[in-house]
Amino acid sequence: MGSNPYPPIDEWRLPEAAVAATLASVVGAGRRGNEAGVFWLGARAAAAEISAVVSLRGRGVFESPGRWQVSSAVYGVVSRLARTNDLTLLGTAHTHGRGLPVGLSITDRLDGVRVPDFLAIVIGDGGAAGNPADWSFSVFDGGDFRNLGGDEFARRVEFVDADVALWRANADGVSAWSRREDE
Amino acid sequence: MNQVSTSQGKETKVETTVDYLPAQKPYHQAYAQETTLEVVRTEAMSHFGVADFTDRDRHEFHLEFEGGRVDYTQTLVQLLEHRKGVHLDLVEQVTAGGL
Repeated sequence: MGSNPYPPIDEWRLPEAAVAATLASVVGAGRRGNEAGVFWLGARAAAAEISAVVSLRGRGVFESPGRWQVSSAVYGVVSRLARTNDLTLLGTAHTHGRGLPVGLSITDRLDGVRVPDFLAIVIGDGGAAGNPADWSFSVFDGGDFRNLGGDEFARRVEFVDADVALWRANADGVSAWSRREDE
Repeated sequence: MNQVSTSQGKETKVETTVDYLPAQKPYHQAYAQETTLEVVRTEAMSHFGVADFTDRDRHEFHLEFEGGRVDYTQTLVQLLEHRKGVHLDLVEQVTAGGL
């Protein structure tokens, strides 16, 4: 059957550019009262760096006040993009609206990508919470998602200065994205 | 990529590759030509450690070929009939209100 498809990840290297692109992608929907989100892609390794942000908007991406959901067709589009660029889905980041807990809901836990060391991030205040220190970072540990607390967060999430590739995707396909919020 | 390979005196196999977005590497296996895509789906899911399940929603994993859902009753040789090579993607479909 081959080797382990999910080699362990000790730390995630998160470029400031990925943080900025993530916020740019989701903040508009947040202003409209809807949840929104992005995919973080990179190479899976002991030190896994997020090297691409996929802004998800359009057909097959469902943004509503209480739920953000991505169709299997969109996963297929991003899968082909990732294959072409030798990338892997390392995590998702999505928003919760103002006043809602900044942490995974039951739906988030059940519908999330449940593979080892997968990251699930929640951004509060509809994407207006711009400081990632205020976001929740959870990791799937094989049984459930577990919040990365203070010491573990500091040890396993490193903010770095690096460029990231930017794409926008939906069920119709993928295109380059300039990081402009409403493009 | 799936390719029909022939070796003299040996059964023809189809080299089959399935990608799953969160996995580092794809699933590779050589299958007999008459293997159905349901068998490929089941064994790829096992390799990736995922399974269909129902909670509040229904979660199902499907194979896609060139952006379209495959017919699981079809065999690999039937899928290859009009093409020299294929590459499959395993994707999860979540249907709200499974229970």
